[in-house]
Amino acid sequence: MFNRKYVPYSTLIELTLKCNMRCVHCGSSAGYTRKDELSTNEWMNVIRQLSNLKCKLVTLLGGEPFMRKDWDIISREIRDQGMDLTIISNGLCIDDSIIKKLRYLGLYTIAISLDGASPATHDYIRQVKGSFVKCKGVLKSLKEADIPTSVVTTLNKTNLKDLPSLRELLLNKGIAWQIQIGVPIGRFTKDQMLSEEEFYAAALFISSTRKQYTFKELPITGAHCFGYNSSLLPNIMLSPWRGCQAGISGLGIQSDGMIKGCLSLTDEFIEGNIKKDKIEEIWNNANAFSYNRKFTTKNLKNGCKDCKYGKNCKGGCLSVSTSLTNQANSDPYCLYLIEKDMKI
Amino acid sequence: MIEKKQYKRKTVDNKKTEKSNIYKAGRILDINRREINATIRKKKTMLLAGLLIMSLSFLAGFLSNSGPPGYHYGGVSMKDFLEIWRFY
Repeated sequence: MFNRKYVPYSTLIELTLKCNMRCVHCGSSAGYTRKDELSTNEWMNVIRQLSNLKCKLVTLLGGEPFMRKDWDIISREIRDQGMDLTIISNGLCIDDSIIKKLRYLGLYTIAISLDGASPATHDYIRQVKGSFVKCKGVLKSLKEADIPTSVVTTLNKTNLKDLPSLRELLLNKGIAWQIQIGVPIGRFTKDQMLSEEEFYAAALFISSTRKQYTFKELPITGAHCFGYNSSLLPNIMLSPWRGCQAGISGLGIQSDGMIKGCLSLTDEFIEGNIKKDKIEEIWNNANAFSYNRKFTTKNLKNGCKDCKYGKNCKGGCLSVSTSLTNQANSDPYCLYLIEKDMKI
Repeated sequence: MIEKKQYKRKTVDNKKTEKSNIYKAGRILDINRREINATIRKKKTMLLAGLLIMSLSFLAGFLSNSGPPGYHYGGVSMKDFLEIWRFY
């Protein structure tokens, strides 16, 4: 009877695929510019369209977003349109001039990728010698400039054991820490994926860290891919999991204008291109994002089938699910499922 | 009777396995048993604490003759409700 109105509250923008690193876990296989990346004017148009659609938060990422010379013009437009702005960067090319511009933008947060507690781990994963030292320096400069700063750590077999040392590094620094798992998309190979037992250990680490330290001492959280409905581990994510938000309240725009519900999804989830149609037309298309908008519990598969949390959980992260099982709505990296089967 | 005994033993074994599996996972990142025990949810304690809070709030409400906090009968507080009832 009533048609639900969907609003893209949070939009991820891949500003460019160009990157100055070649990370072993990169899901986008970033490095070189995509063919037909949007021009400055096209991006400005996109930002205005997002504002009209009542978007609240825009996240710029890449590739490396600072590789685009017009990043500050686009960022300024996002702020001028009244939207919050987050930037995700590897930190390698952040210098004093960029920090000065960031200060005046009034960022929601800048998230720097830190994948190890030593040069041996971080530099190996990032494939750039000296990047660990540079990253630490950038974090210090950002804090000195009073810019809200976060760190994102993507877990794989190489850096899992660095978690306790990373905690020491980030403690009492006023830096928020988000931990996520790497999944076999792009350059990330299956052999680097955490086992279910290792995944559970990481969840236990987040939960016990939140128990040991106050949020002021270390604001730590698991990302959306981290555990759904654990009956034993409390406080892993900041808010309860309400199912994949791709196409519900989340939108992803590639640097060539392709639109998906989330940038982590593969090309089969492309809904259209903003060079051809307006975002509003794609977003409000009755058949768009059907994998989430028309979800029913009948879609749940494998371990998620008949799960009591299935209706809200929708089978966990769509990207993890499709990359590991080739099927949607059946994410095997689920704390509830692991605890139920006691696979750990 | 025999069946009941067997069932009880199985439950205990499962719980032991559950805990030992969590301890095993914790060892990967040097999280010791004490930390794990402090972290994991204690369902019975939470349930008892919840019941205690509920009972105390109801008791406090009745003692103050104004009903439990925020609790009203048909838009009036319990105190007013009793006044009306006495009037009639």
